Amino acid sequence: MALLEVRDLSTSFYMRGGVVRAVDNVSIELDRGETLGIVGESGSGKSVTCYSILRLIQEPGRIDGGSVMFDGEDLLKVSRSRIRDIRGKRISMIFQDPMTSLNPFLRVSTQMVEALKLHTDIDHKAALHKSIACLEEVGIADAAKRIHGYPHEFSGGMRQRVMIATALIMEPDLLIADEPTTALDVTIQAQILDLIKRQQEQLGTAVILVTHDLGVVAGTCDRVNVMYAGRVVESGTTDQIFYEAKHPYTQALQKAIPSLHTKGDLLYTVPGMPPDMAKPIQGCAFYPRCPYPKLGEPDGPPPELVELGDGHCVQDCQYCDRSKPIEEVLSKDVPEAVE
Amino acid sequence: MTRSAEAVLGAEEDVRRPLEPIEVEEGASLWGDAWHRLKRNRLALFSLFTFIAIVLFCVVGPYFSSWDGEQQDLIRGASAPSADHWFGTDTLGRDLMVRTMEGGRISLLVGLVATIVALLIGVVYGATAGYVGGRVDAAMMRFVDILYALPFTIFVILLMVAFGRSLWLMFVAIGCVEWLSMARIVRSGVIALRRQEFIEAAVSLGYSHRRIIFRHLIPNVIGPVIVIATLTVPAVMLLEAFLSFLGLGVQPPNASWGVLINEGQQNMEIFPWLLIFPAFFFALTLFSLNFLGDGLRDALDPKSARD
Amino acid sequence: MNVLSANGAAKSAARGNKREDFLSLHSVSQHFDRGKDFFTRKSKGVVKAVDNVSLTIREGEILGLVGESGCGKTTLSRTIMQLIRPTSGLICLEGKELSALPDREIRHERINFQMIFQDPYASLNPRMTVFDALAEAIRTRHPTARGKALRQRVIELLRLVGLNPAQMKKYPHEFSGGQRQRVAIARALAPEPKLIIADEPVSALDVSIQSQILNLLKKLRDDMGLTMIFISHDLSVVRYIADRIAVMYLGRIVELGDAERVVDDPLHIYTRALMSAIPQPDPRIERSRKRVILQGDPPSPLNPLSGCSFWPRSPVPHDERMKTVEPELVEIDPGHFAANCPFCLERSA
Repeated sequence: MALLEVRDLSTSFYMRGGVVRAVDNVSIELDRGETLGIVGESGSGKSVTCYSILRLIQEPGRIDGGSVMFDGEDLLKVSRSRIRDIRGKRISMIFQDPMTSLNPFLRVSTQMVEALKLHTDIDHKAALHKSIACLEEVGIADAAKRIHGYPHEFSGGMRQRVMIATALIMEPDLLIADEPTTALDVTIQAQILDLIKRQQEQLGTAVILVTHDLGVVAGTCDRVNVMYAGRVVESGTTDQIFYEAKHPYTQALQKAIPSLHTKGDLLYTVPGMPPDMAKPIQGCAFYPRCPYPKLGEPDGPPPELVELGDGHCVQDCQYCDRSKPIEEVLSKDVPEAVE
Repeated sequence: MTRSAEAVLGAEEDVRRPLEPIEVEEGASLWGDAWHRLKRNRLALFSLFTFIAIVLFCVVGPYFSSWDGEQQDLIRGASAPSADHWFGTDTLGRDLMVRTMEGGRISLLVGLVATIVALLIGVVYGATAGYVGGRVDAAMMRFVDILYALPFTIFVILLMVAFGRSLWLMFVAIGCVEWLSMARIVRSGVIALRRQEFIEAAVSLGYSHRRIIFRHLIPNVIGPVIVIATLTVPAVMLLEAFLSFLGLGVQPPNASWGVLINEGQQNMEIFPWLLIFPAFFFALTLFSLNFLGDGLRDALDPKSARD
Repeated sequence: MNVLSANGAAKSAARGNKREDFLSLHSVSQHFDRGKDFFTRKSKGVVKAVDNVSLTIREGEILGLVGESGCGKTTLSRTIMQLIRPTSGLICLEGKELSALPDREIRHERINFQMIFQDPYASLNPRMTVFDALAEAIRTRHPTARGKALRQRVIELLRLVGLNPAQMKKYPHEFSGGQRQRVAIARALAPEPKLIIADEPVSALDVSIQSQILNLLKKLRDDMGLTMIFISHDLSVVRYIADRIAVMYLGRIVELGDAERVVDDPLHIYTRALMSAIPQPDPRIERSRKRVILQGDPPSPLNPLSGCSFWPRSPVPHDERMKTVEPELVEIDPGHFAANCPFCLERSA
């Protein structure tokens, strides 16, 4: 049985200006020890999905439906005390900005020990020892002394290590990392990703890694979900997503980023911009930007995910003609910014 | 740059081509957004209308009354509210309603003028201090700190004693004290804004300091200033009432609400209406301005309000 | 009125070749003296944000400036723009020495340098319409611009960056991030600058929008012959858009050369480490790479180290001589420079 099975999860934000369907029928499957990457841009719903899994959605947001089966329990239906029990102990989360996710007024030792004492029965001294050991595991030198410092005394990379240590101290089954390296320098990013990988191998933790960086996904993930406008448009193994991408968004995204091996004059561009989530989306969300020749108006329900075999799923869309290879339809121009 | 616009835009003629009509769409300014948010706040809107109603009452009201605020009727003396005198009369037989209206004119005038004076001085002073920074800023703010420490009442009394009692002196005295808070708020707003990239862009475009302060900095800090100004008016009115209460403010036969309240308070047990009416209007004005100020704060800073 | 003043165009056209030393920096340093401690009167040290940088940029070139936090690239760009004066060294634009000019004249020279910032949300005045912002910028070069001619000029600029002129009365918050960045580019072009410094112009944008802006910048350079300094931490982006790349570390340039050479065949070990840290969107490559993972954090210029400043993070085994080396930027291969620290160089001249 999979460790995490999310089925048709939907979360919306009920705002004065309209209803924003941030997560629209998203399904996820994750086995123990596996790393899943969730890739998307702003408005894709990748972060909200993670918060929904842990039931961290607050007004004006609401989880509309679906199920989150974690090791046999539906997290959306368990009691509040049970979900609090699970958070931090069996499922941990780390966030993008380590400065704001650590309490600046408390020493690091206080914060780590607090987490331990909340979930287990050990006494203060033992908790402190375990915390120091954890910090050493994540590569913080002189941990016994530094643990008593305040967050602002650590650099960005080190704060993120502290976050990882705090998240892993209870040896959770699942670690959700929401853009953990976006705010860090590239050499630090490499260190942190390496660290997460090593910890994962050691503890057997499953990881959900949320990011907008395809390079990070290629290097660390086993499976990938590509999200756009709150929906999963394609999912599969890393190799399938990178070498056999079928959805125009996945394909266009890969073509549009310059890699160290990009040659040529101009880059491929994806016209327009991510959609305004406050307006209801008819049919296929990517339609206004899709480079493939159009086949009629997008109306009706969102396209379904079809299985192409071997766990590779793609949104089946009848509004565009995907017969030609993407290179022939993508332009390299400077498109006028679409409304 | 080597090649010019011609190469980019096409042939030479393009540049001299007549202007094609372009349907320019209207923009939605941040002020417009704020106004919409304010309109949704029922209490603030109600307060605004109440305040406007009071102002009209005080300014226009006397023209509709058959009585004059100075017309005394010593035989009648103080009388309770009746069909002739809706608010009654005071001890000298003067119609209280007209007195309340005229008193309101003065109180409101003091409130508005002193606040505007404080605003003008405070905004320019604070923006300059925040923009220039360094030692000049430090010196300017130390000066503010020193003035803050002066006891207001004694300061006003000294002024009154030195220059005699006049309405204008009161404006100056009160304005002189209120600008301090304004300056501090503007200064901190400017310091926060100074780091924003659009200010760096303005500097790199070679804009003069004056242009940067007035066109780029001040419009962006004016939000909190408006809120403070709205809350300063009632504070000033209270100060004026306090001074008048002490006998330092407005002189008879002129009256402000403060004077009326003082008179009313003296005869509170026998002629309660003398206190009730001016106090009611005074309190109503203060409440409506305070709620309006709150509403403005929420409207102008969407982050602090809950959507 | 043209986008370019007719004078400038004629002059440039007359000159056959492009200037080699369009912008040149000679031993430019930006040291911030932290003063003395109030009580002990001991010097609090000097922050060497930029240390002895020499550089020449050709007209029409895009120079990529790469480095991590604390390397000094932002301070260097602001020093070039004369927003802060260099502590020492010369900065010359088209042969004219800028560092010697008095403050008043600097303001006039400022419109020759324009900057595009990272954060499209903070780089535009939220209370001004796009039209007002562009008109104000245009007037720095043409103070008497008014009425129809001014309007036409604004329309031209908006079209140049791919925006719909019908939106010119809108406010910044009504646009998306990518559109705001285009407005910022239009504003940077309005005073007809000679040099544009783009400080991480696409880092804050969505990935699918980045290529639009990068293409736009490249097209503007090709069509208008703009000279540009492109600052970024993302080597893939810089390699794509820049002609030459300069890699900075702790206020110094450690490598300088043609973009493809620096990326494909780096001389300095730091450059190689930067390269190997960049995740590539290709799983097979990622699985088979050998990474050079550096220890520790990017250093802060607050406590500058002696000698080869790279030694705390270097994967090379520590050697005491590292602290006494004085590396200088020397030409190893034709057109390819590197700091000649023997412990950091992959190969010598």
